[in-house]
Amino acid sequence: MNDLIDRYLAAVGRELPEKQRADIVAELRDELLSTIEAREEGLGRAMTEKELVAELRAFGHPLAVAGRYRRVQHLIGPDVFPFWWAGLRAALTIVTAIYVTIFVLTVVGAGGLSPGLDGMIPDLSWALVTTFGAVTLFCMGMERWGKVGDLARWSPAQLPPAGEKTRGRFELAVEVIGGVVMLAWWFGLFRFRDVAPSGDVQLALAPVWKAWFWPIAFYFAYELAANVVALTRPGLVSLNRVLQAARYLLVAGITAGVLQADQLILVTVSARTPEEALRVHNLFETGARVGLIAMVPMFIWLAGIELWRLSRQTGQAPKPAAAA
Amino acid sequence: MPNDTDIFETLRLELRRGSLILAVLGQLRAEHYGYTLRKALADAGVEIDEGALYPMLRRLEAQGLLTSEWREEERRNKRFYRLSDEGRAVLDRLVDEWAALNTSVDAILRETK
Repeated sequence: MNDLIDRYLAAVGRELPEKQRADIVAELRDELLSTIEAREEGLGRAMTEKELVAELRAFGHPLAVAGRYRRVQHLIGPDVFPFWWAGLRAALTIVTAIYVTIFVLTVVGAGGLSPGLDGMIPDLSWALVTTFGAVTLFCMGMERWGKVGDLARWSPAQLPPAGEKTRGRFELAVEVIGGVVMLAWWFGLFRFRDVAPSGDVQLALAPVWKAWFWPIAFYFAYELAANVVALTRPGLVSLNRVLQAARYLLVAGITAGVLQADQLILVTVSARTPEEALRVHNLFETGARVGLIAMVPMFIWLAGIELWRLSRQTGQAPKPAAAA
Repeated sequence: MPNDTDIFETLRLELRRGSLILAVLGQLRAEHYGYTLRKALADAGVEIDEGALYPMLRRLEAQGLLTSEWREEERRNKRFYRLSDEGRAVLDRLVDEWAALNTSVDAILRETK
């Protein structure tokens, strides 16, 4: 009989901190023996082994009994949980966006990613599990050693206005990653698959694009930075609107500048007559020019909308203060 | 999906959780060891299982609200707990809080009956 109790208490003791082990086990032993004595007094006989087993089972699993003495009772408590959940969703969204981009690049890229880079990228499932683990570990650290206030530092003024249509997190994450890809492409680190409809037609950018190399590089970097701000600081609505409007005006300005050139695209056609080559060239040149001409008013219009929304927002701002 | 009994049981446990500490502190105005404390609480209508009671006693002692000492009684070593001076002061304040809350909740329940 006592052997079962000893084994039970030893199992509990193994899970307890060493400093408190003997003390807690002695107290639990007294509780168990007192309970058993009371039961036996009620029964008028000694308990059977089966009854003792039932008593110990009712006392609780050794892990559960010992666990209640631990200072830490949960990995992430109710205060940190909402931040863990929001952080996890954001992190998984970004990781998924990265993989969507990688997938698109392997489809449209010239031969996909380089073997060295390809080998460095883990499977999506592994990346998601690692992200889950990293976010959870961080929040466990905050739960144990940090202050929830550090996670929860916020101001109502930083929240996006109610009813405002803002770009979604996933959309922004894709745009940020797309921005990195475009920068890499512009600086020659990545090449897109040839979009020419047949093998005997080769397309290249006309010299005008080289002349505009640095303004366009600046635009890609600016767009990337603006999207990072929109993704990480959605509450800075006015700043995001100004950045967005400036971005549209930059596109319109650069496009208008590029359109001053006589030639936008270099078309090399092999195994065709000069007349046919000219026709193919004109087809691509006209298509590109019409597209770019349409972009100028469209982006000015988009910038106007952002600025109009900004003015409405700024005009509305004093109302609550006045009411207060 | 939880049924009405599950929901009631969850709410009942939540309702009791906070008041258990008050009952334990109140009972320890007189000295007890774990087993007799549990019996005394049960006799007063407050059931608490040993898995919750002993860690609670440790926590309250670590917070300075209880004192304890090992003594031999009935041929066995037992750990006796008692309310400390600090524990008595905290209990008095908690009792006032409990009484005020009880009065308020009672008034609400009477009004809405």
